[in-house]
Amino acid sequence: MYSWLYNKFGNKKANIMIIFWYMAILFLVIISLDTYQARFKYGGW
Amino acid sequence: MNIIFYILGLSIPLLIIYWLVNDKLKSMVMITGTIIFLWYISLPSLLVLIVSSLLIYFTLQQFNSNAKTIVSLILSTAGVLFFFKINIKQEYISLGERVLPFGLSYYSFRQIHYIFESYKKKLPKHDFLDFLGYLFFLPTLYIGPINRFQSFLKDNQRKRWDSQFFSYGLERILYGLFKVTFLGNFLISLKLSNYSGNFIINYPWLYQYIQMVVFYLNAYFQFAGFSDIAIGLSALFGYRIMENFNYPFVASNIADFWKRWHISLSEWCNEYVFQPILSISRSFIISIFFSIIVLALWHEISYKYILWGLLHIIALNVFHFYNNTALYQLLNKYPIMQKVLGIFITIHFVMISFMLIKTDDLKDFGNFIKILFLVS
Repeated sequence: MYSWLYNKFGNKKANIMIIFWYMAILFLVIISLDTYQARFKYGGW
Repeated sequence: MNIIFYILGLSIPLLIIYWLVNDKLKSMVMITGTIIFLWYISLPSLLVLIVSSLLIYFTLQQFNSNAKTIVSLILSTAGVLFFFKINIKQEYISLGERVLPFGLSYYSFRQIHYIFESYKKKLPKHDFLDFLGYLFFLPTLYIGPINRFQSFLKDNQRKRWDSQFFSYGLERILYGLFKVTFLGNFLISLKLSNYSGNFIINYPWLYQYIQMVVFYLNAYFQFAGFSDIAIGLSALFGYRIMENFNYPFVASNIADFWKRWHISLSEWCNEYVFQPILSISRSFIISIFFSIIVLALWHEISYKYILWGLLHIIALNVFHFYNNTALYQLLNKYPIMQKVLGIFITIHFVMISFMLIKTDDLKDFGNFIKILFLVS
């Protein structure tokens, strides 16, 4: 991801954008953590 | 709390110690971490892993060119898996309730791979600690992939700190968590599933169709997400683990699907079931039959999975014969149309076959088919 941003926008912008990108994903993970339960039925491992 | 969070939590102190100690002690740190983890989660699981690993390693040390010993070792390893799979009472687990020894499905296939490769004399020089490190590797213990010993050993001998690779690992873990929690649980299982409720009375076929999509996408995001976490966690310890998924929804035929879905398992079945049987029987049908049956029973020993496997066997054979027909030659002139049509048919076949697993019994599956195809 970072290398793509780096090639597209250069070092300075890419550094800021990658931080926002990770923060956004982390935010979505955290808000959906309360739905975290065993919803997965795919055989017995 | 899900077990994956225990693994991630334990990995933090483990990582600090792992990168602080010298190279010779790194494997010991990982093995000790896995032993502590299994001791806490389930002592019987630890005992099964230790006993089976010791038995395999020391037997192979003594008799690794004796065909009878190799066959007995493979049968006993498969037998242990079969015994526990057939006794399993619940499909999912919460901490302390597990019936199946932790990670058995994955490490027993790793053990069989090791036995085969040892017999074929294809294993590079290694010692007992390398072998234990392979089987007691915490990141891939829980949910695979069924990685190969040779590539593991390469990383095991290198063990070099690489900050870029470490950062790649963290990124993969984040994406994995995103797939499992946000895409799988929140968006697909909760939101899309609830949305489909709007169609239950007026458009029952659409409701069933969305439910089918929900089940398939959820299975994909959960499984691919867990694989991402395992691959990312391995990267934090400096190991490159094979990919397990490669965009299975763009597979243009059923053979292509099995090269994109649970790659480590399908490659294992290809290498250790399909190829050996093909070399003996010279029959594509027989070889594909046994490899898909092994693949199906690996998930669960039940008639539903056998039927699911049979459906895929039929599909693979139909595709095999279709390749030699005039229709294939004709459609080959229009590659884009063939690709689009192939993706459409493959994804729908796979989703319908997955419903065989989701539904309670054959009657339930029959009702689903009737509603989906507007028969009733």
